[in-house]
Formats: sequence, C-alpha cells, structure tokens
Amino acid sequence: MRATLVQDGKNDLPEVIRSVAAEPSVNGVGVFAAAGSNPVSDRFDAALTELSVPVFGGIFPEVLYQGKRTADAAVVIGLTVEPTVSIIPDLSGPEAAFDAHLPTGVPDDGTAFVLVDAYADRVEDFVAELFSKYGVDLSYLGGGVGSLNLKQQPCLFTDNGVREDAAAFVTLDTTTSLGVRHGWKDIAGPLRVTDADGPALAELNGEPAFSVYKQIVEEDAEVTLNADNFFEVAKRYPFGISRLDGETIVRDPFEVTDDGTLTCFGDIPEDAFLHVLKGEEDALIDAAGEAYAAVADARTEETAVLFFDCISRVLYLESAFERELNAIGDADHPDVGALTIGEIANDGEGHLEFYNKTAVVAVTESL
Amino acid sequence: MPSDLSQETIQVLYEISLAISPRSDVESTIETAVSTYLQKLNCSAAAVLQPLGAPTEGAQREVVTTLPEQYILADIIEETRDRLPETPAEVNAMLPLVDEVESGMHRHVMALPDYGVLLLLKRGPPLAEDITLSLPDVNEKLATACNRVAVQKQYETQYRNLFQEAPVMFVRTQATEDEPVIADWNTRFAKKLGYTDKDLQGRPLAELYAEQSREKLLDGGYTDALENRLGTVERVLRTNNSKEIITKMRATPHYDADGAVLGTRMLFIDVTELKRRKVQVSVLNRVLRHNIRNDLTVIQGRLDMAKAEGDTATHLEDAYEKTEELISSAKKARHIQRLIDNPEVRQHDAGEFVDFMISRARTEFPDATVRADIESGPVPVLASNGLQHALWELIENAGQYAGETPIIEVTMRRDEDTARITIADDGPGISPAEHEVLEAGMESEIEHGSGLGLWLVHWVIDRSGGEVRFEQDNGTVVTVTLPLAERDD
Repeated sequence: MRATLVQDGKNDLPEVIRSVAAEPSVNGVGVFAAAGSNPVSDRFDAALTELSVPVFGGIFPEVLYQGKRTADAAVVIGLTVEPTVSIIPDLSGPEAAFDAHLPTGVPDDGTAFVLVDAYADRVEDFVAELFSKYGVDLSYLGGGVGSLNLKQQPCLFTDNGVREDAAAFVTLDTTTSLGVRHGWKDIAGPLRVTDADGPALAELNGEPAFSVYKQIVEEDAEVTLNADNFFEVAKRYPFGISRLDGETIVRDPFEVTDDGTLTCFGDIPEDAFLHVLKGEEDALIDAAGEAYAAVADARTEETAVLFFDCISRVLYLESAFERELNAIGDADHPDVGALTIGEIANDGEGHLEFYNKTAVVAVTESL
Repeated sequence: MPSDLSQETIQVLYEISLAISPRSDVESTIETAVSTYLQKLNCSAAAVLQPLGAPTEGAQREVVTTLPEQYILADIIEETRDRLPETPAEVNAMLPLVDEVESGMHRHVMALPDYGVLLLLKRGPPLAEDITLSLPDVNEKLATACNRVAVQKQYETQYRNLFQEAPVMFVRTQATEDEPVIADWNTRFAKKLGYTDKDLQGRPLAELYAEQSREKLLDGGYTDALENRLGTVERVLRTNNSKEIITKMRATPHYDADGAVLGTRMLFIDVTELKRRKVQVSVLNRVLRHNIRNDLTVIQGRLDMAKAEGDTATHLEDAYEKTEELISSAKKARHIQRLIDNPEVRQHDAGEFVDFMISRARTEFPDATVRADIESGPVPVLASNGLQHALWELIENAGQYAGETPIIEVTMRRDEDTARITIADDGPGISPAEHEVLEAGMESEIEHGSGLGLWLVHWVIDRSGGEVRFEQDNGTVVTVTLPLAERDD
C-alpha cells in the first residue's frame, strides 16, 4: 500500500488518482476525501470513471494520514492487493434487494471495507444482510460517509462517479485484525425502549424519550437541555445498547423533534434496554489505546494500520483528540483512516454491527 | 436459572426473551429470535435443527434456520448431527454441550424442548456458565413459540385446503381508496369464472360482476359488507367468456390482527341451475295449466258441436289437429324433462346433425325450398343432450309457419372458438314479445311464450354454453352459436 496526501495548492486530486492508478504495482485505488477539500467536480468524476483499476472511497468529515487528521485534504491509496468492488444502490429503498448486488463468493479470512451513505435509511438492514450472507469469516471495517451538515448528498466514490444513497462493499484477499472499543461509561439505565421506529426513539419506559433523557442529562450536565443546544450537549451523552461479552453498541442522538422523539445515527430496536452513557476524556482515549493494543501484536513491517473513528468523538474530545490519535501506534500511524459518521466492524471476533462513537483499529497484513 | 445473575445478564436474557414471539411462520419466528441471540450474546453463527430426537432411523435432523447462510456452517452442522444421539431422552441427557470445534471457536448445543436443537457458535471464550445455565428458560420459550406456530400453520393449511377445495366460491377482497380489489380466492372461483390466478390478483371485483350487480356493489353494497350489514343477496357474476352466473352471496368483514377492517370475505353459491329449473317448472306448469286446458276446451267444443250438428268431418278434423298439437307438446315436455334430469354437456357432431336436419326438412316439407350452405366434415361442438331436438325445432318452425312454399336457408360456419348455425326463412317471423321472454330467460304472468318449442331451444343452447339470437329480416333469422369441442388453439 502507498498513500498520498492531496492538499489544495500542492497537488491535484484527479491527477494524483490517475498517477497512482497507473503505477504497475497498483491493482486498486482507495480515495478518502475530507468534506472540506470539496473534491467533487467534473474532472474528479472523469478521473474516477476512466481508471483501469477498481476504485472506491468517499467523502468523510475528516481523514487521517500518517498519524495526523485533516479536514481539507484527501488521501489516495494505491492498493497492491486487487479489490473486488460492489456498489449497492438504493440504500434507503424499502424494498431494495441488497443481495442482488453482492458477490456470491468472498475470500476466506479476507478483509471487507464497507462504506455506506450515513444518511441512508437502511444502513443496518444492509449490515444485517452482510452478516447473513457472509458471516464473520471476513474482517469488516468501515463506516458512514458524508458531511456533518445532516444532508444526504453525493458522497460515495465509484467507478461510475460520485453517488448518494448507496454503499460500497470492497473485499480483499488479505487478513486483518480488528480492535473495537469506545470507552463511554454508563450513568443511567436500564431504560426500556417502548416505542421506536428505525433511528427514531419515541418512548422510554412508556414516556416521551426526550423528557426521560433530558431529566438524566440535565442532572448530570447541570445545563438546561433544549432543541437549540441538543446536538452540543447530547454529543457527551449517547445511548448504549448492551450485550454480553462484547463492546456496548453506542447510539448517538443528534436531534429532537417537536413531539419529543430523539433521532439517532443508527436504529434503536424496540424492547431493547438502553443506558445513558457519558464520556470522559481519559476513558475514551484509553479505549482507543485498548483497541490498538488488541491488534498491535499483529503488526509487522508489511502491515498497515488503519483507523476508523467516529467524528463525534472528535467533537467531544476537541483538542484532546490528538492524544487519542497518538494512542494508535507511533507518531506516523495510523497510516490512513477516516473520521466517520458511524462505524462498521465485527469487533474482532463477534457479531457484525453498526456502531456510533466508537474507535475501530485495523492491522491489515498487506494492502 | 442461577439466582446470582448480574443485572446485565438478566437484562440481556430478558431482551432475548422479548424477541421471541410466534410470527407468521416457524422460520421467521426462529430467525428473529436467533438474530437477537447472536447480537446479545455476541456470537458469530447459529443454527436450529429439528426435531430433538432423530426423525426416523438413519434420517437426518432438518436444518430449519441458519444465520449466516447454511453453506458457511455446513461442516459444523454435519458434525453436530453426527454427535447427537437418537432419542429425545438421550439428547436431553447430553445437552447442553459446549466444546471447542476449532481453534478459538466454541460450539454451544442446547435443547429446544419438544422442538429441536439450537446451535450457537462463538469466537473467543465460550459463553459464561451462568448464561449457559440460564438459557434453557429462554430456549423453552422459543420452542413453545415454534410449536405454536407449527400447529397454527397446520390448522391454516387445513383451512386453506378446505377453502381451496370447497364446492362453493370464496373470495377475499381488499378495500382500497377507489374500489375493492381481489386479494385471495379459491380454485372453484377461478375455475367457474374461467380466469387464471394472474388474471384475478388485484383485479377490481366490479369487473367480475354483471352490470346490475356492479351498480349495487359500488353504490353502497360494498360499504354495507364492510360494516357487516349486507346479509345474503343475489349477485350475478360474469365469466371470462361473458356468461352470467347467478349467485347467492354472503359477505362479511375481514379484519387484521388489530381488528381493523381490511376488506371482505365473500361466499358465492351458484344458483344458476336452480333458477333455470324454476323457470323450467314455471313454463311446464303454464303449459299444463294454460295451453293444455285451452286445447282440451277446443277439442271438447268441437266434439260437442259434431255431436249436436251431425256434421262431424270439419269438427273432428279440428279436434284431431288440436290432439296432435297436444301430443307434440307432451313429447317436447318429455324432452325437457330428460334435459332437466340429464344436463350433461358433451361432444356432438353439429355437422352431422345439420346434414340430417336438412334431409329431413326436404322430406317432411316437400313444398319448401331448403337451401344449405355448410362446411363439409365433422364440426365437433360441446352441447347438452337435446341439441338435435332443438335444431329440428327451429327448422320445423320455419317449415310450418313460413307460408305455403317457404324458403328455408341453413348455413353453418366455424371460427376459432365457435360454430355458428343460421336458419333463415321468409315467413312472418316470431313476435318480438316471444323474443323478449326468451332473451330474459323467464316468463311473467303477462309476458309468456306460447309453446314449449322455443323454450326447448333456449334451454338446450343456454345449457351448452351457447347463444340463440332472433332477428327479423324479410322473415326470421335464428342464429345458434355453440362452443367448439376442439378449439383451434
């Protein structure tokens, strides 16, 4: 794998993509672009569609390159292992048959990058379809692509240009070790979900979800929670869906509607028990370090360290996020990564999940 | 269940338990539950085998569900099958089974009492012992749900078979914003109306009704049915080949699981035959009551006059003529009785019949000019018994009532589906009132036909699935259309 940072004024993204793809050792191209780099243009589309090797990627709130984060650059990755790229359209379609767009065979113990439009309605159905079809013999990593403006727009890079409401399922015949941790601590619960529809959480314990959540958060945060400051305050108080012997699944509420319904990134199952979680800087950063520690033994000179971390952790940790990044390997690592809107992984060994606010570290044998 | 479980464990077990409920079929009941097992216990795969004990000697337990797809687990499922003993008691004694099937992969095999076996695979360490000891209660709930759905499906299948094979017509409709559409039906309904399943699915019900019934359906009848206020009513269905079926129909509301009205369930009983017999009895009754009495009165009068006047020849001639008519009526009544008793529709050669009728007409009406324009060779048609009598009735009518030297023209043509026989004469024709009575298929006190002959024609052709049309065109033109027995397609 060879990654190239593309920054405005220094080099040109379409040119770099063409140039990387033309290298004899390159059998596929990944493009991770920060939203602030404004990558989409006719020239960019043309570069994607003209390549002679498979290409995939997307627009993320921020991207990672050699241990640094950037909000206004892109990373072009030349892959020596040929990827098999499947694009799944109509990710919000109620009747969309995802299976029809998925490959019948995948490499044993291979690696799968899964990138989804974060604002599509059926991300979790798609993740469930992947689990149903391939199990966890693959190591999955990836997450939600898009910008933080809460609008669905073209954000997924394909050899047909930039798409929205779609997913990319990219398999590679290489092994990957995964570490998944979040570090959020339980401060209240269990609260039973008595009314929910997809990502819309209407009732907890038979009462409007917002009033239950507000009472817990206000008591802890000592602020008055309302629709105006909801995003700012709620980023510190996500929900947790617990399970045994695995990392709690975090759900990030990002808005409240007039009827007291909370909308989250990711579905909230009815009848599940939720906990209200709280972040503490050290605990979150330690968790990222634990995620790396879980896979550090797999590192060799040939391996690559990839990091998919939730943008909301950045919003919460702010300047302390540099410490989290430093916890992932040495100063030049992770090699590449992205700050995503929701993360996809199978926590190293168990069930495949769509997470929020979670750090996913991967050590890949070769790319 | 252990008494010292952590809150988290109790919570997770409760969540799995809540995910278990009978669903539309066993597969989806298990899939929903197993998916929650996997997520909540962070397992990587699951399968359910059925039954608990081996089904029969040497036979394998069936794989009801796997998650992920079966091929991924095939080896482990096979190995698990081999490990399980034969009888349920032996299986229960052996389970739960926890072992390491491959490096870092643990297998958990648990009983689903009276149903089957649950297999869970987990990477990393096995499930904690307190979980393994607590799961039987949850597993029992899953087994109960599966057994309940299986029994329910069995009843549904029986009901469905009964519904499909019932000797009456069933239809279930779906209420829509516009008009009711057909959502389900039984075999008899489709067969009687001559439609395929594809034709019927989602089709507006009104399209299958005759005009008057359609108006009643759309003008409040369906609303009454949705509100269970309709009762039993007469409705006329129209078949794919435009025939009418008179039915007694009963419609009741069809509810969803929450009690909301989705549409109607409708039961149609075909009373066409019953109606036809009522008309036949009515006509025969009229003939006996009215025509025979009148004819006998004439005969009696002529005999009285012959006796009183001594001039017997004219009176006896008239009395003889009326007696002949009565005998003819009696013969026709006998044909009609046979028709009623033996309504079988079978294949006849209309070509042979028509050939024979033409020869007979030339013999019996030597003063008539009989012209024939018919296709050579056999013309196999489907018709009820009595076809020959019906065709002769029409030719005889022309020979008797079309004047001294009538011209009778008989033609026969066949197209893709039907044979068409036309009998035309240059006589005075049949009265419009008689047509109307025949086309309506019933008599009233005021409007009735004069004799049995044309009724015999009407009933034979109607029962054959054919059609009779009367026209006046410098005489009478009667066209009989009959379905071909061997269609060209």
